[in-house]
Amino acid sequence: MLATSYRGKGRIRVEQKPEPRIEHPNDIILRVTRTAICGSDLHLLHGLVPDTRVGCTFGHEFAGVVDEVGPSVASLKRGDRVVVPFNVACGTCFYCQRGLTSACDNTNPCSTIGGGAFGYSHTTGGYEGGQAERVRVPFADIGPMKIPQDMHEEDVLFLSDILPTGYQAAEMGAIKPGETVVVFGAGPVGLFAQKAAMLQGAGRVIVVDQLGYRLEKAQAFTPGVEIIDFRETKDVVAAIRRMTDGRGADVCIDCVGCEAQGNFMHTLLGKLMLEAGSATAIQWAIDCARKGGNVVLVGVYGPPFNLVNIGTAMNKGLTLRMAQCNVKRYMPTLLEHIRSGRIDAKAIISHRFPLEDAELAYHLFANKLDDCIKCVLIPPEAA
Amino acid sequence: MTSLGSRMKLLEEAVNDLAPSPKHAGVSPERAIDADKARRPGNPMEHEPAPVANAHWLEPDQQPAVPGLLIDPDRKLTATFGTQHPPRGLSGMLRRAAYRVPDYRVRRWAMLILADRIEGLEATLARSVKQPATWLAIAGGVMLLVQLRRRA
Repeated sequence: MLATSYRGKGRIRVEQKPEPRIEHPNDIILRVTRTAICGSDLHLLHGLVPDTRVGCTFGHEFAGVVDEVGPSVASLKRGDRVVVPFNVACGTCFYCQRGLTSACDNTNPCSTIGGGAFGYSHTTGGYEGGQAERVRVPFADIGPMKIPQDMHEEDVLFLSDILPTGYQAAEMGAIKPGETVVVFGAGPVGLFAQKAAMLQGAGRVIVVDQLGYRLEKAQAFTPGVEIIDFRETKDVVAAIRRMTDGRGADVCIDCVGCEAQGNFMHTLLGKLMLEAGSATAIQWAIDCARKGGNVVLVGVYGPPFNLVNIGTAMNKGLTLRMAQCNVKRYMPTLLEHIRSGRIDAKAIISHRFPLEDAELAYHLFANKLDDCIKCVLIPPEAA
Repeated sequence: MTSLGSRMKLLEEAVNDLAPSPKHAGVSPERAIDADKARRPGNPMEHEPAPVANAHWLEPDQQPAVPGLLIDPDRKLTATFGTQHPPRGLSGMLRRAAYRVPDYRVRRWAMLILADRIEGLEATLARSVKQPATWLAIAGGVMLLVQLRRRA
């Protein structure tokens, strides 16, 4: 089958790989019909996530048709269309029982820092990803959600990761009606975080990025958001403080992660691997939050550490909340939002490519060319 | 001394005082449809422990172990895991050494990142060896050296 294959830092190609097979009684094999490239795939590609092995297939956002079912799968049958959360979760461990499927204890033998995830290095269990014609999906009775008959895969594809991640980010901000929320990053997760902030009652949402086309998209996607282009603003923190009567924002959300631009020191230290990528966005979030405010981190940072101003956070009495998204518990609520038209998730798709052209799609996405926001890959059988 | 109730009231007023100016405060019902926290699905501290829907096991079945699987020293074999890309070569030796170190130690991650880079070089080398152009270039280089030595 065709699949993406990591070849070392900065290199990916599409090649023929062996078909996946059932390895656990609750596995299914999914024929992928739509899969997307996530911003966090770029962190893998750029060598920022440890234990990313040559030959592995990326992709943790995918939907498709059930092709083969393991003997203990009870809720799915061949031919069902499903969208799959990026978390691999058993459904019954200490964490899953508390809704924290991203921390599942039964799916990642390789580290203690999180549960299993598709296509995201051996640090999260070494599972192959969905940027392929077929993919093995463990615990098929737990994660996958059937796609309603009247909906297309693209309508619900982003329920696999970025839409719940953006929504959970806003939710972790504990936004009170009328509060001011700053979202760092107008990429796909940022777009959904700003939308979720509005849905959760924010009075004002300010989006910070450096790409004009993404800021325009932010305003089109969620009418009423305000924007800051940090290339044109000498001092982002001062600008936010000016916009909030000198107080700072109630909630700041980092939707960028370890490849943030805007601070030479962090960029340099990140490139030299003296910290786990650039921590500019989370530093800005801490500096822009008002005293007693909430700072949320959903951007991905690799281990082992980053240099952030934690003393400032303590002195300001900030509440820091962060997590990989527990996708499963958000799916029903967000499906309802999509069906009702409140969230047009597929509106963020800017490019569609055949799976065979994944290398080009990565190039476009990584370099922000052709006003790229979100790339969807279409395997040959689904074209 | 004020009662807890009055202190809460004061706190509420203080929070209301933090709300933005009226020009930003108007939100349509649609816009704030999830303002009620009861509509938000993800507060773990308010979540009663219960298995995820469709789980029909207490302890999941065990996926058979495979050779070459590296397991964190603080973990045991989990019910499922990825089976592709066992460690190999020099990078594999380094990965095996890294997996003997707990993941709260910086050197574990430093060794893995180094192993990643070495594996990238190994892959490039392995690919180059298969390319006729590589051998042509080597042959050309050898011939050039021989010629240079003859002239010298």
